[in-house]
Amino acid sequence: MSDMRKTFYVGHTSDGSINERPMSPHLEVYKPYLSMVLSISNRITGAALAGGSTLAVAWLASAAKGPRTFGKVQKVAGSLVGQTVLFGCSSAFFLHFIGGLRHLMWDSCGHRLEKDEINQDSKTAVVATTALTLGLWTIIFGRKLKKKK
Amino acid sequence: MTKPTDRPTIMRSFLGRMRGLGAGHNVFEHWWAERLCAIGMTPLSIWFIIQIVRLGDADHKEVVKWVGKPVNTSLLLALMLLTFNHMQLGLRVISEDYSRGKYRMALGLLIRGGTLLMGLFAVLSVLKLAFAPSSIKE
Repeated sequence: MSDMRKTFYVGHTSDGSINERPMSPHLEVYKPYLSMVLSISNRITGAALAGGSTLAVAWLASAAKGPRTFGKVQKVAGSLVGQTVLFGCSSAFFLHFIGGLRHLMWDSCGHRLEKDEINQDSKTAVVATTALTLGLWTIIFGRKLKKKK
Repeated sequence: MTKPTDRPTIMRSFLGRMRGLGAGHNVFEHWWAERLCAIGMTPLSIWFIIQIVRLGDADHKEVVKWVGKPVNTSLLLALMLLTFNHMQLGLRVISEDYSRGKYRMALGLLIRGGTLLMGLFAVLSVLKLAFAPSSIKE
C-alpha cells in the first residue's frame, strides 16, 4: 500500500461487498476566493523566500569573499533583471510577513478568526502588501535619484 | 444483509500522539518552533530590510564595516539562525504534505541538509566579515 490513508477508505456496496471509497476532491473543485488564494500564496511565497534568502546569503558571502566578487554581485543586483527579482522577493516577503502576523494572531488567542473578519482582513492584507512593497521601492528609487543629483 | 466492514482500530490515544508517540513524532514542537522563529524574525527581518536599503549601493569597505559592528553582527547571526530554522521547518511541512512514497524521506533529508549548509555558510560569512576583515583580499 503506497498511501496509509487508504486504510480508512474502505466502504461497501449495497450487496455487502467491500470496495474502495473515493478520495475527497482537492482544491480544483472550488472556485477561488480571496482567503483561500492568500492561504495558498502564503505557502508559495514561503517557498519562494527560501530562494530569496539564498540571494541575501550570496550577497553577504560575496562580501566575505572579496571586493571583486562583491562588486560583481552588486552589479547583478542593480541590473534590470536583478531589480525585478528583488522586487518580486520584496512583495513575496511582505505577503508572507503579513500572512505570518495573521497566523500568530489566530494561533495565540484566536483573534479575528470569524468568517467575516477573515474576509475583511484578507482585503486589508492585499492592500497592505501592495502599499508596503510600493512604499519600499519608492524609497529605494528616491535614494537613487538623490545620489545621481 | 450488509456485513460490518473491517476497520483498523487506532490504539494510540490522542494524549500519546500529542506527546510525540504518534506517526508524526514531535508535531507540536515542530509547529511551535516555527511560530517562535517567526516571532523572532518579525523585528529582525524589518531591521535587515531597512539596513539593506540604507546600504543600497555601498562599496565593499562600508559593508565590511557595517557587519563588523557588534550589534549588527549579533542581529545578523540571530536572523540567519532563525531564518534557516524557520525555512527548514516550513519547507518540510510542504514536502511532507505533497510527497509520498520513496521520495518522501529523500526530499526531507535534502531539505534538512540544504538548509543546514546554507545556514552554516551564512553564519561563517558573517563571522569572517566580523572577525577577520583583514583576511579578505582579492
